[in-house]
Amino acid sequence: MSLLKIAVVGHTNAGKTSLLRTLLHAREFGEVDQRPSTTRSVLEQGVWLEGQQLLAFYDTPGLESGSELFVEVESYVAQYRHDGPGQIKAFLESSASEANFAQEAKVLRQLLQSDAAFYVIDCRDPILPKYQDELHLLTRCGKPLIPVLNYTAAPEQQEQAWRDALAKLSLHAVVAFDTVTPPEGGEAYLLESLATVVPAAAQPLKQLIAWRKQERKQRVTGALSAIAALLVEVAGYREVVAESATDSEVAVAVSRLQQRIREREQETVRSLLGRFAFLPEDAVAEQLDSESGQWQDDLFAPEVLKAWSKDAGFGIGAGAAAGAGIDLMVGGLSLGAATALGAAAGGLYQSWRHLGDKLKQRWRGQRELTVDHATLATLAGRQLYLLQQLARRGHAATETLTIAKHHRLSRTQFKDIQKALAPISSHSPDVDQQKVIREVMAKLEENWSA
Amino acid sequence: MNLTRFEQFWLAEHQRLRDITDPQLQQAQFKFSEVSAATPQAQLLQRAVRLSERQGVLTQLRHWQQLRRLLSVIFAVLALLAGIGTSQAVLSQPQPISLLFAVSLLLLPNLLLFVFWVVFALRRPRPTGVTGVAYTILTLLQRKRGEGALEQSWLNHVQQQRLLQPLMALTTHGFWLLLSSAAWLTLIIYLSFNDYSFQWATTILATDQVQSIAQLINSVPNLLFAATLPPVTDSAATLTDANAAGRWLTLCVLTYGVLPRALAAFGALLLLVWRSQQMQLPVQLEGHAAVVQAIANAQQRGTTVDADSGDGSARPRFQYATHGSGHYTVSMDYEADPHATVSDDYLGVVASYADKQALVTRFTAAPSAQLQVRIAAQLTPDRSSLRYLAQLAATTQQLTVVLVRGQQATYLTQWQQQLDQYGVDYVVA
Repeated sequence: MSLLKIAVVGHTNAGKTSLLRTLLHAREFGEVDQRPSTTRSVLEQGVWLEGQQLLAFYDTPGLESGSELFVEVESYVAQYRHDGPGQIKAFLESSASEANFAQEAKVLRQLLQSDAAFYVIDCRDPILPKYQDELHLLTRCGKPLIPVLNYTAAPEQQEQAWRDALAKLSLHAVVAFDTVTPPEGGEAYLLESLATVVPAAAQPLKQLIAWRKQERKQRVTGALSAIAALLVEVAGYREVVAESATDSEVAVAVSRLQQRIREREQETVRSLLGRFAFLPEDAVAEQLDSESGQWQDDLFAPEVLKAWSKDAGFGIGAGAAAGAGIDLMVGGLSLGAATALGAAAGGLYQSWRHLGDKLKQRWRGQRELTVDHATLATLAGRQLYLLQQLARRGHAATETLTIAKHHRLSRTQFKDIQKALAPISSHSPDVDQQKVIREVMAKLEENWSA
Repeated sequence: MNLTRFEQFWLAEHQRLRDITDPQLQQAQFKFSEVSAATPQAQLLQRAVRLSERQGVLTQLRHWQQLRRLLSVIFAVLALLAGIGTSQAVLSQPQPISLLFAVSLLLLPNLLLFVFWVVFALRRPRPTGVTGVAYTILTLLQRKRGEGALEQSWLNHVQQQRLLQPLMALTTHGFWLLLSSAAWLTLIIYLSFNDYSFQWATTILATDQVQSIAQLINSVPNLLFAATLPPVTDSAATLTDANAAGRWLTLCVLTYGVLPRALAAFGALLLLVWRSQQMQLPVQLEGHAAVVQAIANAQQRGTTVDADSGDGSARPRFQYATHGSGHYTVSMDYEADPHATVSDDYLGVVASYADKQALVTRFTAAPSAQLQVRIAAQLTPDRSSLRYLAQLAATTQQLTVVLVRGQQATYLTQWQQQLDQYGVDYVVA
């Protein structure tokens, strides 16, 4: 079929633009405000899939004079008996449509040109005659209408009363969809409802649902990867301080380390917001705890020794093999000295790579300040919390999310992540960072549920 | 410049790193709306190639590729020279040449390094061995030219696409394949046109031990080429059949030197080709994700199809009656507080159009001195409500709106703003 056109209609302030923001995953679409008549023009926004436009949504101005308009259109009933669209068209051609009902006329005109419409209802409102008049009018356009109950998560919602009222108008396919906190699978259900009333659009809508599902999965994977990258990078932060440093000098080093962590965390927050198509101001991270430094100067830490022994084995082996080649080339005249020297050189080279920096620091009387595990657990917990919130949040939400200090992982939850971060924390050379990120990501995934 | 798929992906990674460090600059040099490709991957590749053209990265890439080709030739020549040298070292030994020694010299370093490569180098995250040396030289040369940024993106790219291992394997095994092949061919040429004598020389091994070692070595050549082991004599001084020994030696080099490296290099090449074909850009990665989003926003911007004319003629005008009598209260649309104490002159809720018009007709006929209109602050103000209030105002000397908070007062502020705008008295209850 040709491009599917969907109008979004409803009383003023019912949340039409909010619904579209959430459906389009576009935080900046249109203008959302509690003042009435915020949207005054009809805005078209396409939905594209791999370069092809699947459907077009039309955000319309709010209906504000439903009852008066109902009376106006009633005057055409005699002329266009049992012909709703005829009545509406006659009204649109009349001078009254521009003189007194310009806003409503835009809505009706768009609805006549569309394949179907979402009628957005603020279900915190009681069912008023003026709303019923609006609905009657819209049904006269002869287009499939899907009522969407907004604000269903509000405590004062009257969902059932609305369902009953809509049933009286033969509108049974009602979708409950809170635009601020959309229900799990709500978007797919909304699009499926559309496919039910416009069967010709079932295929593109099915494609869109599948793509959105994949997009969500990719967003979560990308976000987990960004969090893992944050942890890996921060776990590798070092501040070298002289052993003889005064307390104030140490405090400066600690605060420098904390500043780096804060900036890096902020970068991840922005990245996560961007991935889920939110704005940078949609979340704010509270300042991290001040205790975030620990001394690491243990040459014989298990992780250090493990990595060193592995690489030293390689160094010794490769050196010995190269030396053996030389021994053979000279016909054994070197009496195996080249093999022994090669092995020693290989082993020493690898040992220096692992322990050289630490030995140099010892020699120079320096110590290393690193990020403690509690800070890393806090970072992981806070970012996972943010991800959880973003995955559930509708793009209509305007309240700022606060990532609090207490959103941290417990010691048990962080244990496996800490283990995966060990090669970074121990500062082993040539660590496969991508591999560590993948491992940390897998552990983070275990701690995350949407 | 025609770019291979590998190079396009490399440039995309290069661009991603730039996008992370300085997104504003990258955006300034290339507008997102310039992208015409449909899929996110194609969009990122298109943008990366165009930006690379504009920023001179393509020239750097061309230098890199030239250096890579030059280094490949140098390494190939080195491998050939080393192979020829090894065979010559064996054949220049005092005759008769010890067969065991010749086999060791020709094959032991190759086999030992093969084993070490499998054990240690296969899973390294960075280039090692021959690849490592080549990578370091390339990096140093590029940096000397002030074009060092490509090396990190190359490494990231091959790591992301899991191409590093097959690339390293291909380079290492290719190098050793050339070396072994050169040694093998040199051996064949020298043995074909010169006369050499061989023996099973040993000082500390017993004859049966030499026999076992020789049979063990011969097992694979025998299996593959039906090679015959030159007779193991009981005395080091006894010469073995030179013709048989020479043939056996070349078959051993072919079996243990050339074939394993050739198979490994071929396997690495297959894996490299397969993985290159399977390459997908990680569009959710830091840098890429934001660009994909920005391109989508630029390409799919909404349009106004029925603009607001801005006609303010519908604004209600509040004019009050000059005379009237009686005090009345009415709830408009909905009573948010049914238990509120209201006076005896309470007229109830007017919600339907008919009721509203009836009330206007009644007060037009007999204007009131004061009319209180109760409005639930949970309902949004709208044009119709304000127009109705204006109609009522014309039928009373004094209109007061009572904004009822009830259980919720979502739009209290908006009502207050609207009423202030028209100068209508109100109280909040």
